[in-house]
Amino acid sequence: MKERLKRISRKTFFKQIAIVLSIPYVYLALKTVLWQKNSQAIKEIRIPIDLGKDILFDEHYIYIKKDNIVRFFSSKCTHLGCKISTLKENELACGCHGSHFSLSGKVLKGPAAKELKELSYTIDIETQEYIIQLA
Amino acid sequence: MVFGLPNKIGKFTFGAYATASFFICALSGLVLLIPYEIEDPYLSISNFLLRNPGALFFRNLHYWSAQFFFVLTILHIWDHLKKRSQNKIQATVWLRLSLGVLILFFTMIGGFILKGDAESQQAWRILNSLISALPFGETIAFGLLGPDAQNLLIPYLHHIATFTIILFIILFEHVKVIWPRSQPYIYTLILLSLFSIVLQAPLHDNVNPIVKGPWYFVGFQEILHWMSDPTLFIWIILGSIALLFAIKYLPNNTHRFIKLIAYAVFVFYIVVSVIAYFFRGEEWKWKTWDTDQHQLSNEIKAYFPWPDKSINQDSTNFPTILNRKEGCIVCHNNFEGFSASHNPESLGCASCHLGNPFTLNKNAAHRDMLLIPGNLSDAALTCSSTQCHPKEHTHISNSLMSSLSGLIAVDKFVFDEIDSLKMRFHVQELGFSPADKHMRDLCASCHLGNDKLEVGPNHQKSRGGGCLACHLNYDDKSLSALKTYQLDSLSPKLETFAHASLSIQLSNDQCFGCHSRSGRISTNYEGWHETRIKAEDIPNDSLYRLLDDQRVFEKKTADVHHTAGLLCIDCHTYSEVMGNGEKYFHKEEAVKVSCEDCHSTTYENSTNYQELPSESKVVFNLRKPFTTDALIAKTKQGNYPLLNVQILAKDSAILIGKKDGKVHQLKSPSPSCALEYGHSDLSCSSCHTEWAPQCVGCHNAYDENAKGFDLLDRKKITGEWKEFVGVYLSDYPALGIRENDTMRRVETAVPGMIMTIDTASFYQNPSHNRFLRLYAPSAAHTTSSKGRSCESCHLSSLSLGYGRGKMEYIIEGNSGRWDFTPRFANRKEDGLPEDAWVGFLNDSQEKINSTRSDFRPFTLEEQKRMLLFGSCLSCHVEESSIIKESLHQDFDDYLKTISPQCVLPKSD
Repeated sequence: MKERLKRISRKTFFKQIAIVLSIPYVYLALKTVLWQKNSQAIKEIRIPIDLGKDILFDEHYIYIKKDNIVRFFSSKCTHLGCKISTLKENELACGCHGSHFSLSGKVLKGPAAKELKELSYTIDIETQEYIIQLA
Repeated sequence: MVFGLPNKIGKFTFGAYATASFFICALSGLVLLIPYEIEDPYLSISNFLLRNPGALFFRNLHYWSAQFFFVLTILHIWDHLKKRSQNKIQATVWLRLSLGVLILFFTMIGGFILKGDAESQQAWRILNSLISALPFGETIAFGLLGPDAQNLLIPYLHHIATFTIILFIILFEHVKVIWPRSQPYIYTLILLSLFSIVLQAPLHDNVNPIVKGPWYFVGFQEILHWMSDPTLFIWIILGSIALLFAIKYLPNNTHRFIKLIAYAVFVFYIVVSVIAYFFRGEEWKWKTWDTDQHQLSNEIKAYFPWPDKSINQDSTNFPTILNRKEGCIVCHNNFEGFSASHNPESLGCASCHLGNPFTLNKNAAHRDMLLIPGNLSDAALTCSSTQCHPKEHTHISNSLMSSLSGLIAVDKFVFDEIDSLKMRFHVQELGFSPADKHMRDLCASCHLGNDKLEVGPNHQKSRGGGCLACHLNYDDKSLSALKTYQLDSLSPKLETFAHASLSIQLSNDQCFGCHSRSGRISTNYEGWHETRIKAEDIPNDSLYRLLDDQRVFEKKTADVHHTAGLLCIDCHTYSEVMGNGEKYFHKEEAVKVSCEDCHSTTYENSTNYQELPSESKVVFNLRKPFTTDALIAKTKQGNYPLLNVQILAKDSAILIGKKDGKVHQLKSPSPSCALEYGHSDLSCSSCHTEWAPQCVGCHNAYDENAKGFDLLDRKKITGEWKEFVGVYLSDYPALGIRENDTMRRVETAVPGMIMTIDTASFYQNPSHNRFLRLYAPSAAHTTSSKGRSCESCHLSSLSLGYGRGKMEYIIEGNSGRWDFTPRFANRKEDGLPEDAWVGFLNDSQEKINSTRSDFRPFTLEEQKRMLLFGSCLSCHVEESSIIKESLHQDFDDYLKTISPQCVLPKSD
């Protein structure tokens, strides 16, 4: 070990110290970003109950009302995360690579392999709003 | 040589030109800092594209210099890998150069994302998804891309600062100069400037449903399209960067092998990129690379996109449309005539007419424009785009008015090409079999997929037209404006232009073109019956009418609903006419409304505004027929809301005219309609149809030399089917039975296909001739308020299906018999009169005798039953007490009470 240390030049030594010293900073930077991400993350969305539509596509969710039952799904395609915003022959269609999902979120056509994530929600009677949980 | 190219341009290497391109890119980016607004990138770009020619130039310059930098860098890397130049570079520098490839990619893709259009947002999502698949990926993705696709501040800062600075450092470390060399710089600047003047950098119009990444990324998209789990992909990319670094340390043989693999991968990537760019359309579906330029309309656009006129810089009169500025309304800025929902201030022009909304250059703006949007062929880009009416396109495409499935099925059945009347077809898939050719020659223009090709209102000869078939409405002003434009199209008066409206205020004119053919329901409804009188022989008489296609019609009794002022749409709902997404076999399945829905003794089937489907609510809110607390009637079949029928009380309802708002009190059916004995199976139309057009003696023959016109492909052809007509008659329809597992009902019928088909002339083979005798269920649309007389059914050979002629009841002693002398001669093929459905007092000898599998003539027993009552009528008038009494009890029981003088038919 002493021999090895003797062979390392001063410049190299300080370079290596600099690299090691940056590790906690990198960690702190990641934590900073993570904190910001978590604080900015939208956890829930409120929308009025009477939307006047059976299907609504939003940045974060898809609202589906069928046979008077309301369901919310994530509008993120499970293939590559594209926003699903099209209805084709009663199927939710992703415009990026053509994945199709049923109105209950099941995969009908690939390349997506996983079904859409269903979002839970509650109803605020007072404000007549749906509260959709995104997290 | 590099990929077959020389490895220098003049005296300088690719690297020199790449450095120059990078420099120009950075400088042009500095200029763009000023007009570009990160709060709303898409709006700011559309704004300066239209209003700031300098910004337009620098954006193009920035874009093209970036593309050049990217391509030249790839060429440069390859050039040096071939020479193994990396051996001369220090390891740490080589590491940074290898990572620089990744930084370059992020810079490029960051620029793509910063457009903020639909493609950019999807690219953001894909990149976010790919990075999130890595360890700590979500945090890294947030650090690089920000929280979502709408907040682009973080990727913007990385693009203009982080990555640019890193690239500068790597470049400086590698090239050892800050400034590019002047000669390559000058040549590059001139070339890029020329590009920038001629070609506009792309910006998605947020209307086109095709969304793709940048040209250098589409190959990856094609590969990702094959992978259900793209996690592996991101590791392959990172692994490639690692391999690039490691190549420095590989022995010669391995190095050569890796290069060969890299070359093969590169060629493969070019191939998949070409496939993805040119042969993938909406939803990444395979498409042919045809002349449909809309498929590529979001890529390089606009030659010489420089504005024709300067515009007022005052932003108050330059409205934002669909979250962006649009150039169309700068020139086309004074329109009237639109309905509120299609106001150009809300939709602009490009969302319907396409073209390029981001330029004020007329030629560039009108390139790829649709003069007549709204045909089904382009509806996906216009009316049925995601933001507008996506559901309707599917409904309409599946409807019989688009597919003609029922017509085709019957036709093919008649031609013996299929053996079932319950098969589905689509007019767009017609081939060239005898039946298909028959359709092409005679029928295939009347479908909604037939494109409207001429501007102006629909008229009697109009066929098809997609959404425009119904919803395009011209008033006097817009007609006058159109005529002015057509006379002087070179300098159109743009100050004020009355545009046709797109609304739900349809008139019967929209239906007339197609529905004055086939069953003639449009003309029947108005009380016009087609004759064989030639146009030049038409009597000068208001009782005759000449249509635009030179057919002559004579006046008959109009439908009572027409007389009352009702339009087609007052009965037929949007879900019937446009379809409800279901694919029906025949039209009577698609029609949900029935007489009993409006004419009822009790209105129990109702709904209210709150329970309406969302589409119905939209229509209700547009029409506002009555208040939202009203009870709305529904159809018994399918429970479709009748948005213009309000239930006032259990036994009272009104119909509001959809166009004129006139209130019609709905009459309950007469007590006669509810007779329990013997008439409970009657449809309303079997009594209340005043007349139905019928043609007798038709013949079809194929003339291989005739000059004709293919109605589907819209082109002249040689060889066509010709139809020869016998006589046109208008009489009471015949009656038949529709019977299946759930119901039995008497309905009206007319000769459907009693004809010979000279398939021998098609096949040049005499054994192919075919004769058929098929009646068709008919909905004549000649409703009368007063039902037909008892005699018209029970004493009518026509109603019973024997055809026209003299039918009389002959009493011989104590027994009676029926005798019938047909008017038309018997056909040699089956010995029945020309216009008959079934033989006199005979069962039908044919297994198939109608155009529906569940519709038939009366059986012998049923005929005898009808004539049994008819025998009473031969002595007793229908107003007599004897006849009236017989209607209110079981007829067999009643017969036990008749006078001994009554002579009934012999029962054998």
